[in-house]
Amino acid sequence: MHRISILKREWLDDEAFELTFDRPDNFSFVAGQHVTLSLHGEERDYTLLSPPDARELRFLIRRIRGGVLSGALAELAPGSSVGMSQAKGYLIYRPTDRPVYFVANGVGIAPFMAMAASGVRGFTLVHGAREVSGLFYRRALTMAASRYIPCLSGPAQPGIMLLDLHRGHVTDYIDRHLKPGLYDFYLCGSRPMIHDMTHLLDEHFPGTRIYSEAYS
Amino acid sequence: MKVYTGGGDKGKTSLFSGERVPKHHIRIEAYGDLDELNSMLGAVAAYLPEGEQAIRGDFEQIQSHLFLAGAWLATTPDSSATGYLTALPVNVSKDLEKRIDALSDVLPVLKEFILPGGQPVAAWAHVARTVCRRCERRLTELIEVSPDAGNSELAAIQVYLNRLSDYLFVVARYLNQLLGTADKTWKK
Repeated sequence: MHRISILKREWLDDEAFELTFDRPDNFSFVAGQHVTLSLHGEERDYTLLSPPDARELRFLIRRIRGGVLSGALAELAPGSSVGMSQAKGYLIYRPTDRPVYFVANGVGIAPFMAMAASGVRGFTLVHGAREVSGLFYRRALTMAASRYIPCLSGPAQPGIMLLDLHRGHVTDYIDRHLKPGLYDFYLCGSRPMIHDMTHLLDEHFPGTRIYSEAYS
Repeated sequence: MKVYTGGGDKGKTSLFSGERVPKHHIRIEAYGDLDELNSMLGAVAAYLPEGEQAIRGDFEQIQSHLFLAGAWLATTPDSSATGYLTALPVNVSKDLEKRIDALSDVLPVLKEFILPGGQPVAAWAHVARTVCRRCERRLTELIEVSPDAGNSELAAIQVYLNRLSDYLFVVARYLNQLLGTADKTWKK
């Protein structure tokens, strides 16, 4: 178990914030892996946003209503420390000659940010949120991705102009627009999204590889 | 993180290398049996006599090795995902042989077949041995029917499972002796 100290916090919208910590000397990880953060006996898993060679460790955290740990992390002062486990998990990029699709909603974008920051390229990113403010890191990811597809499932807002914008859920986009073929899919986000995407791909794109991780 | 997503509700699951396969796929059967063996070892360990630290230590190492082995079985050999796998330690089977020899040294020489059983912990060790043999059979089938034939890591796992079965047989006998129960020989 490591002890890491908060360096800074940046709010991305009303509920989500990015927390930056110092990095322990003997800590290593692969882009896409997560750790368990702990404070006063409360524990929760968070995926690292940073690439493996970063000097600091960044996390994307959603403040959960009634969530003890996320509530505390939202308010801890810089310099405060929390516990951090070794890195774990297998939502990591496997080089391939197939077309690669990253599909994320909510804070599930974190592993794909880490992969993009570590130099992974050539992927299509299908990024879901209710509103445009929930498309975290949209600009950076648009630059890194071969194609970036924002999917907004909330009511249409006036004045929103996004390239390749799809109105609806990420599953709806894949169902309507993906041509038959063999793909490598990486899914990260809510359990209903993972569930629906997995069944959709199994049914309509047999032979496609799926790597997934669900956030509660 | 929740354990369930429901992605397997229609009978498919993902390999470590990402392929979606039916849950009765030979690869799933093979690493599922390894999981069963690992759980069986946990059960035997839970019944080990107080103070039997050497076997407890062996089991902890073996359980970790079985995790490594399971990941290899869950990965197709031509996948780039193999780059994330950890090989079994080089001397892992040789080390088991040393433990087999050390435990055998304090046991009577076996001249006849024995009936599996005796003390509960020893009886469970025999059950674990039979599960280990099944793992070995699954693995040889996997190597035969899949493109794994040239996979040197699976060959190493095959040797390890063969040795592990022998080790569990000796452990069962050792535990019976430790707890004062003699081998029961087979009579026609």
